[in-house]
Amino acid sequence: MNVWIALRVALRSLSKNTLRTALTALGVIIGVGAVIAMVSIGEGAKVSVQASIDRLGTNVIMAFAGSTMRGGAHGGVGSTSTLTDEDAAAIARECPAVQYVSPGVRRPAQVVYGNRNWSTNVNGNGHAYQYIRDWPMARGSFYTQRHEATAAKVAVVGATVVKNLFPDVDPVGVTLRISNIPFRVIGVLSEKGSNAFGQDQDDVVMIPYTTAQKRLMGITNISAILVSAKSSGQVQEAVRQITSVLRRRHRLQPGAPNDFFVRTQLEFSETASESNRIMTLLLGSIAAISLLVGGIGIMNIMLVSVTERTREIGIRMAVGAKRGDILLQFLIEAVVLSLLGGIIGVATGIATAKVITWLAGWPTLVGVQAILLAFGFAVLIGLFFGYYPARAASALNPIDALRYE
Amino acid sequence: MAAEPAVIDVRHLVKTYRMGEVEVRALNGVSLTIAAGDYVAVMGSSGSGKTTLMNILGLLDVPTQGSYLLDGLEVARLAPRELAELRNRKIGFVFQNFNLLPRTTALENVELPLLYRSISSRARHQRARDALARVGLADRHRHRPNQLSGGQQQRVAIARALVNEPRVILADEPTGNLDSVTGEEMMQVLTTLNERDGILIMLVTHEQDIARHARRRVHVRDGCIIADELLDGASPASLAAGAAQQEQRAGEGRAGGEGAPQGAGVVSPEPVPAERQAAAPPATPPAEAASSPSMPEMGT
Repeated sequence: MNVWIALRVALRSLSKNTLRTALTALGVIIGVGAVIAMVSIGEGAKVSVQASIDRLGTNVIMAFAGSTMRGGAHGGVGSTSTLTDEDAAAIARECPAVQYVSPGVRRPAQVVYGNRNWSTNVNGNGHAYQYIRDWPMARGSFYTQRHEATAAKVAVVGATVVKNLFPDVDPVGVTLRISNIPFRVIGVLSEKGSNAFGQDQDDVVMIPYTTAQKRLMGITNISAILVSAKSSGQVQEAVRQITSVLRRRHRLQPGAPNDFFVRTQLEFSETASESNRIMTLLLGSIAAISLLVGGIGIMNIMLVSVTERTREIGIRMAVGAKRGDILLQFLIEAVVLSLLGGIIGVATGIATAKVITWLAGWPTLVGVQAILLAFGFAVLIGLFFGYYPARAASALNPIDALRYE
Repeated sequence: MAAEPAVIDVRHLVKTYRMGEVEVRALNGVSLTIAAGDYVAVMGSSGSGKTTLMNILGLLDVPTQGSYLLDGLEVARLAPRELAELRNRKIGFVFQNFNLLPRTTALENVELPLLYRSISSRARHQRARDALARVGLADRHRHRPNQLSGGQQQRVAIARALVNEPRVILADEPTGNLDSVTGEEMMQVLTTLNERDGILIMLVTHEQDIARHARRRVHVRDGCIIADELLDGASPASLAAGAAQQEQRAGEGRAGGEGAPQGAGVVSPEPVPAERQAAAPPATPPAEAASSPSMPEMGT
């Protein structure tokens, strides 16, 4: 008996009991659907994290003020104030692999406009920040080098701040107050969404870092320097140059540890994708358990089916079916069941992923790999759990099978 | 074809079953030769061993001892897959309870044996349709067993038995589930197949009326053949053949009957193969010649 005929026989016998077939396939449908939906959530998260990291720019480098060592106790990152705007200027001047440099300070603050107020991050950045982050304006313009040099009281606001502070006013040109100091709004940043760590990047007010230092915080140091390399291929070169400039400026002896950190985009994305991989794996393996349960359902139904159709098996053997033919027939039936479940399950999984995106707003990504994996796994489960019942059917003695009532 | 040996030739068949501690001897040294185109009724009470004999002759079961030549081929020790192949090619079964697949059309039921050999689907349909036409059900292809009467169901079963152009049709109480009128019709169908197509028909029954259709009756009791008689009404050719065989078989039957109490492996007084072969030919020519055109493939 060739496989095509066995397939037709299997389809026919499955179609004779549609409700049972549907319910059996349902176990696999749910399993495959769950695997695809869960993996697509994990993949979606991974891709969106990756995208938001990439949105920071692939050639972005960050230098933070380092930890102090006092009496053997390490302070946290930024616990010293070793970075200055002169360091930033030196990097811009002396590192050939570096394109833009933006010194940065930040502090949360209450922002007031009229009778509304909003607690947000006030970031003091260099004017080059917009180029490093590649962050276009929605309206108005970013502050310039002149604003920076004069510590002008100008601000650029993010979309979330606009939503909360200026629900029905065009913010460009109005004056808002940060810690009671009036700032003129000169631009609105385009919406950027959450960053890799779930923070809302649009919940921000940006002012020149000089203004932040002198008028808001009364400090002379900076907490971080954001740098872009000339190209993504020059990132490592830029890191080396920055490190050597900062070590020299901070008069660190050879062998002494750095009092700053230099991090690249790559390191962030590696950490983020690793944690996402674990999440995807976890979600996928929980879903795989339901696929396994679906497989056990197939085995159960196939065993019942073999018992129920003992007479049929006897008749087939009497008219010349070999044990292999019977084995093939029941095995194919199990595989068809799981394939059917697999196909509908893939559709269900994709639909579920879409619904999740639509309802919960989570990004999902249905990968071809996940589909193939779930599908292949379903077929394997059909083979694995179908084998035992098929084997039992083929091992029947024709005489006993014929007489079975 | 002239020197063709008997289609069924069993010698000293013994079949024992173990039921717990007790060993049951269902067949106790049965020897039987049946020529091509013969029409045999096996009779006996329940428990006589006739069903076991049919199962072994039908290759559904293997004997514990003894030899079974089917068309000259020793099949007593064949592997299950070889037995399945032979069942498919050489033997057609007709059962008391029809044994059709439920919820499956008549045509598909008849096609069933053809599924287990390589044959194009077109040829499969054609042969199944032809087989249904031969049993007078040309207009019932699409009917399912539950839409057919008992007689029609048994006709479908007969069509299924003959769709592979078998050498032998084994019918186990073929009329047992039918009323006497329908049963009589069924016997007509079988008789026609025997007379027109020369298919060897062997039926198990305990009804004299049914056995009357056969040309030869074999009586079985306690696992032994106790009588082997030729009936009136056989065509002259087969009668001659039957008589020739009968002569020889009568001796064997007696030997088996006498030997039975002494146990297994009782040998009939020196079987003479040469004589056996000489006796067989007359049985075949007329029936075979008539049936040849309708048997494009003899399954060999």
